[in-house]
Amino acid sequence: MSIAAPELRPVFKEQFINEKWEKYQSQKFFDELISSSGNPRIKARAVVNLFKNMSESEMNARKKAAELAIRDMGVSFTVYSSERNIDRAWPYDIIPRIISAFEWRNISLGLKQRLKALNSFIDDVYNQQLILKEGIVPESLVIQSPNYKQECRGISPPYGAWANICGTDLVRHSNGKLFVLEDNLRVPSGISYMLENREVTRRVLPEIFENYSILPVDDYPAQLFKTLSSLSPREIKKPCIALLTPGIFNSAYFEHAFLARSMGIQLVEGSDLFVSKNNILYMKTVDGPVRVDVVYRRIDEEFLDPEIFRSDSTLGVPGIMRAWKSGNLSIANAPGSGVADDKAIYRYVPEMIKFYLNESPIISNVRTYLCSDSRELDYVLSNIEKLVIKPVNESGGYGLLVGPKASSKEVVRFKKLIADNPSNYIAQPTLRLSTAPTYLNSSIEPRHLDLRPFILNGSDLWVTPGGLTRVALKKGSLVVNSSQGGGSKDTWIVENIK
Amino acid sequence: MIMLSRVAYQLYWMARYLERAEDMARTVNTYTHFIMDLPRGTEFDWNVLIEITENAESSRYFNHNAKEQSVLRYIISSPKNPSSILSSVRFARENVRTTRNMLPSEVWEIANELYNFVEEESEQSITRKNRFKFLSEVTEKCQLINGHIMTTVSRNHTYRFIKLGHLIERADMTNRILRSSAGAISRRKFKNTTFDSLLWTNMLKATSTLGTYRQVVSPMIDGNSVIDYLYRDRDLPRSIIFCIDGILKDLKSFTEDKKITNILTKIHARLNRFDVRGMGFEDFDKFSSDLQEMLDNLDYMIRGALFEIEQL
Repeated sequence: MSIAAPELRPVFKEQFINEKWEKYQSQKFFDELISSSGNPRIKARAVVNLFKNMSESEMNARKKAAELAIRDMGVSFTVYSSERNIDRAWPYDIIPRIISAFEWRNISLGLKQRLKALNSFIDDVYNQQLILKEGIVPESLVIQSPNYKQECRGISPPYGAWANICGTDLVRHSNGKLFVLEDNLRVPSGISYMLENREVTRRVLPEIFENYSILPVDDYPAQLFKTLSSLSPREIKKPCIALLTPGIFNSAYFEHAFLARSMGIQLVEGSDLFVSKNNILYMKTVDGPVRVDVVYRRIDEEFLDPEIFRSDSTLGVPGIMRAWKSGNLSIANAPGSGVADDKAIYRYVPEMIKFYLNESPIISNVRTYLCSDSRELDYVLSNIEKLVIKPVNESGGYGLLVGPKASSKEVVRFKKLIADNPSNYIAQPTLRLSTAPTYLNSSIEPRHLDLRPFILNGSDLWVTPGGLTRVALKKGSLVVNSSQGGGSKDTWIVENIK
Repeated sequence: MIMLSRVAYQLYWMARYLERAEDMARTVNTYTHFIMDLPRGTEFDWNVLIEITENAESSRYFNHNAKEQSVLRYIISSPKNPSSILSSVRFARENVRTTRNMLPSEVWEIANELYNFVEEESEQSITRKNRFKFLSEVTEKCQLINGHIMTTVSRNHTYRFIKLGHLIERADMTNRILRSSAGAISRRKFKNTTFDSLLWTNMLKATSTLGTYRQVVSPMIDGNSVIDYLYRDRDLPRSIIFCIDGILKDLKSFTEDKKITNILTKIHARLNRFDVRGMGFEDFDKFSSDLQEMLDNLDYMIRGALFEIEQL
C-alpha cells in the first residue's frame, strides 16, 4: 500500500511529448529505432515507451543531468581555432542507439575478416608484394603513395599484425544495409567516448537498463592491454608498455590520459624517451632508465622519429625507428600501416579479402571511383552532382564535396582540383545515411548517424560490442565529426529482447 | 613502481605551488587583520607582503610606500607575478592535469574547482570586503587536496615527491615570512613594544601555529621565542627544522647523492647552532638569507639528481 500521496503528473505535458513521438518521421531514410510505419522497432520498444512516459521537464532534467555528469567526469575534447584551443564538453544525446546482438554477430565477423585482410595486405606490400605482382592492386597506387614507407620494407611485426587498433566507420543506407565507409588504421580515436557514454547513461537513465540485456563495453582497456602485451618482443611476464602522446594540447589528450589510467601504463611524451646506441628504447624514470617493450603511439608517424621522418618534430623520439627495426620494440600501430588506410586503396579491400582469405566480404564496401583511372574520371566529372568527392589522404571530414548539396561555384572549384591532381581524389555515390531519434531543443527529431567500432589485432582478434555512434546535430547534415558540431549516442548491442 | 622523471617533477611542483598559494593566502589574511588593529600613522606598510614574495619581477614593479590595492592585486590576482595566488593555482592545476593518472580523481576535481574559483573571484577579492572570504576559501580548498592525498595516495613515489615539494616550499615560505617581518620591525624609527607582540601573534597566525605555541612555549608571546619556535621546534609541522628532517628522511629512501646529503646536513647544523637571543637584526638577516640560498641550492640539486636522468 502506498503511503505517499500519488504524484501529481502534468498530463498535458506527457501527451505533448507523446505526440512528438507519434509525429516523428524519418521519411525516406532508414531509422534505427522507428520503423517506416511509425512504430518502434521491437528492439527499441521498451526504450521508446519509457521516453514516451516522460514529461518534457523530465526529459530536460535528464539532459541537464547528463551535461553535469559529463562536466564532473571531465569528459572533453579540444577544438583548435586560430586564436586558442578550447576544451569543450563532450556532446551526448540521451536517446541511445540500439542494435540487435543477432545483427551484431555478423558485423563483428565482417570487421575481423576485414582487418585480417588489411593486415595481410600491409605485410605483403612491405615484403613479397604478391598482390601487386598478381596485378590485383595496381602497383603504382601503392608504391607511389605518400603513405607507403620505404623504411618499412622487409619488416614483419609479430603475427603479421601491423594495424593493431583499427576504427572502422560504418554507415547504414536507406535499404537497411550496413557499409564500410572507411578504415582508420593510423591513430583512430574515440574509444574513451564510447566508454564514457555508457557511464553517463548509467548515471542519468538507470531505469532504462531494466528491460534489456546489453553487452557491456567496459572490457576494452583490458582487451587493449592484452593485445599490446602480446606484441612484446621480450618474453617476460610483465612487458613495459607506454602510451606516447603529443601532449596536453592534442585534441585527444583526454582519451590518452583515460586509456593510460585504465590500463595502468605510463603516459609518456617524446621527451620522456630515448634510444640507446644498441637500439633499445628507454624511458627516463626517477629510478633510472627503464626499458620499454611496446609503444602505443598516439602521434602521427610523420612526427614519430626526427631521424627518419620530419626532422623538425619535437614530439617524437630520435632513434625509435631503429629500435623498432632491430626488433627490440613493438609500435602499435606499426609505422607504415597508413598504406592501407587510403581512400584509393579502400576500393580494393573486397579483392584483398578474396586474395588473402579466399572468402567473400561479409560487410560491403561503398562503390568507389578512382579519379586516377581515366574512364572512372569521366564518369565522376559528368555525374559530380550525384557524388561525394573525397581527397585520398584527408580525414575528419575535411576537404570534401557533397555533390547534391554543393553550389555550382564549388562544383567548378572541385572539377579544377580533380583535373589538376586526379590521383588525389576518389568519388562515391551519396549514401542516404540512416537516422535515429535525437532529443534537441525539447523536440525529438531524426538525425543522421554513423558508427565506429574498434577492432584489436594482436595474437587474437577482438571487436568492441557496438562502438561510438556519432550523430550530425544539424538538420539534414551528414557531417558527424565532433570538431564540426557532431554529437554522440550511447550504443547498445542487445540480446534476448522481451 | 615506475615513475617518469617528468611526472615526478610535475608532482613536486604541483605540491610547491599548492603550498605557496595556501601559505600566501593565510599570510595576506593575517596581515590584513594586523594592519586593521594598528593605530593610524604606524609605520607598517603593505610592502612587507611584496618582500615575502620577493623575486626578480617584484623589484621591477614596486618601490616603497606602494598602495594597498596595487600590492594586493600583485599578490592575489596578477598574472604577471609568477608567485601570485592566481599564478600558483594556475600552475598547480596545469601540473595536476598532466599527472592526473597518478592521482586520485578527487584531487583533479578539487584542483579544477579551485582554479575556476580563483579565475572568477580573484580580481574582485582584492578589496577588504571580499578578501577574507576569498583567501579562507583558497586555504580550505588547498587543505582539502592535502587531505585527499594524505588519506588515499599510496606511500610510493607519487606520495614522496608530493611531500618533498610541500616540505621545501613550506620551509622556504616560513623563512621568507620571518625574514620580512623582522626586517619591518627593525626599520621602525619609533619603538612601540605594544604592537610588537601583536605582530608576533599574527606571525603565528599566519603559519597557523598560535594555539600550539601557547601550549608548548608560553601564553606570553615574544619575538625571540616565536622565531626560535618556528625555526627549531622538531614537532611542529610548520617549523623549518621539521621540514628539513622530513626531507632528509624522504630523500634517503631514493637517493644517495652526496651533494644533497651534504647541503641538508649543513642546513641542519646551522639550525642547531642558531640562537636568536642576543642576535642583532643584521646577524639574523644574514642567517635567514643564507638559509634562503641553501634552500634554493637544495632545490637545484634535487632537480639535477632526481629529475634529469642521464642518457645511456
